[in-house]
Amino acid sequence: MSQTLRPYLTAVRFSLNAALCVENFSSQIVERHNYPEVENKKTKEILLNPLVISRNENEHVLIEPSINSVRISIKIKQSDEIEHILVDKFTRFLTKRAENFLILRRAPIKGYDISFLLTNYHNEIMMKHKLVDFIIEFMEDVDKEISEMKLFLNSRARFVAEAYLSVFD
Amino acid sequence: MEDWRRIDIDAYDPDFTLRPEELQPAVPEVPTEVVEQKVQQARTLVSQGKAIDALKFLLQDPPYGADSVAKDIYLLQVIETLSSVKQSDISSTIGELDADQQDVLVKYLYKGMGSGEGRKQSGILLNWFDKTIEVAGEGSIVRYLSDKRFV
Amino acid sequence: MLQLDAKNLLVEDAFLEAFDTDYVPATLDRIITDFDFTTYHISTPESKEKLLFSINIKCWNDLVKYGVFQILKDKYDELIILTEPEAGWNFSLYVDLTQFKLANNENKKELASRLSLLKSHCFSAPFYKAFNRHDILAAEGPVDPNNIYGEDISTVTEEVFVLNYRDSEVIYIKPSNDRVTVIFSTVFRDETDKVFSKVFLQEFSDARKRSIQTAPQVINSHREPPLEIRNLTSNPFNETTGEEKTYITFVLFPRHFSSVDVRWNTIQHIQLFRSYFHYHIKIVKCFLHQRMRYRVSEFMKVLNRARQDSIDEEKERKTVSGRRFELRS
Repeated sequence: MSQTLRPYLTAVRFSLNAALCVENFSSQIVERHNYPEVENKKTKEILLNPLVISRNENEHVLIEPSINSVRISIKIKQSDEIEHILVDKFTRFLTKRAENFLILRRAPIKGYDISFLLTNYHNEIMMKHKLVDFIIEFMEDVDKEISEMKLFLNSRARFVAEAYLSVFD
Repeated sequence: MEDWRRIDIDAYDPDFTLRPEELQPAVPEVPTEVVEQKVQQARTLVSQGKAIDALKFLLQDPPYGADSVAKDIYLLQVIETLSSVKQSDISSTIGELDADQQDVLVKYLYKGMGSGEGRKQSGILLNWFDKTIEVAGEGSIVRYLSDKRFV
Repeated sequence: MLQLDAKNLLVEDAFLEAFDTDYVPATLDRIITDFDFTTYHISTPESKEKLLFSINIKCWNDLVKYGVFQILKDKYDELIILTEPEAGWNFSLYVDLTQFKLANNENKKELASRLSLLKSHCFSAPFYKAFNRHDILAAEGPVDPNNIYGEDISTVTEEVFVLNYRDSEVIYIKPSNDRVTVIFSTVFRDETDKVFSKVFLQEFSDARKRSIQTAPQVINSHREPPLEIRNLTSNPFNETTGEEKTYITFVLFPRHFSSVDVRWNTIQHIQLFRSYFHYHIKIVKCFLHQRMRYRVSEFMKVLNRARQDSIDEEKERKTVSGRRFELRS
């Protein structure tokens, strides 16, 4: 694990722990409505200050808390064109399965690669510390997966090229 | 006004919802000169090798009421001061701060990580952040989240 | 399947079936497709025992220029080649089944396989021509032994053979006294393919340096046409069509066309380069997709672990005295 990854992840863990204090809250504007206030942003007094945790210029997490929901957006490391494409493909693949993923937001926030939306409902059916675990594990694995995919692409390309060229003789 | 159906009429009702100004607690206005003066003072302390004193000085009375340009200057000075503290002294430095100063420090750390300048120093900020939370606990994060006085 | 076969399997099957001793002659009308917009047509217009085999190739007119007829005549001399091909097709020949009734199995197999290589034989025309031209050039100006892998010193006036084998993709072949240069131009419509192709091409270029010294040298350039074809007036796509082209240059050295067998092997293989290249880009995407699918299911498992009810099931509840609750259904 690289040097900055551990403090980065613990910072996210602490911040998430603190931010994930959500409770059921009905809309103050529309009667009998109850939606994630962080998405609606109509009632200012129940929104909390958003915070950003960054590891470097192109890797950061945005956490936007509110009374009944927390939105977490992740910017995944993309150091070159290939990683950019792989991240794009991977997050698109994930968001297409948002239905099963419950906490995944179907579209990421602008400027980020993937967003999660945790509401009080999720907090009721799932345990908070495990939810936090999930986010942390996700952040860890996504980086690993992207670099593995890149390695795979390279080794496959090498294999294919050598297979083609070795026929000439 | 062609699209009058889409007008958010609730926004025009003063009793309906709180305006952002009403949420913000009143803070005394701080002129830019005062901020610059404080930054200068802190810089002198840092150059004398008293980074810890400079940090305490900066965190004592943050300029909540200054404009955004002055706040950015102040933030940069905080980051600079943080990076001049030795790695091994971080924990003990945090221990010397009182609870209010720790909370202000958390505010600056978050702000630093959110700004373009601070992102280049993310390693240092994250290090400070972890150590601060170890000492101050998660309460300081919650206080950051709910405090409408921005640094 | 790593390598693509130059044979067309469907054509081979069709003929093997027809050559079979138990074959009951039937009316046939089959259209079979191959790479690069090539189509075959197998039909029985006259009698059930006389198969008409036709081919349609996009760049037929180019091939005619490079003497495709002569090659096909040599290759299929025992068959009846139509002077006037079937309407709508470029080249037709008759396979008379009665003629092969008594032939042995080996011969039948060989013929079926030869017929299935019709496309390869068609495309081989310009390559053979280039190799022959190389022989002449090499005889005229012997190669400087100290400069065997050096820069191409041949004159720019040497004719470059052009094959417009796809809509906006071209094969250029240029003979010179010490090498034959084959240049493919290809277009990627998909942004992802374009990026992946760069990775692949890089590996193609590096492979020779690394392990396979005997392979042809591969040079790739993006958007910028290679020197060999830059001043080519007959290049019909020189104007800015808006599409970004990638050029891949294969430098074939004399060792790649030293004998008849080697020549044929090289030709057969290099023709399939574009198909092989594009095919493997698709495959790698497929593999990546599989990986993602797996990874996502792993994430799902982690997330589901966070559910409250998942622990309720695991944990068995007991009373103080240690008695278990029985579930009554």
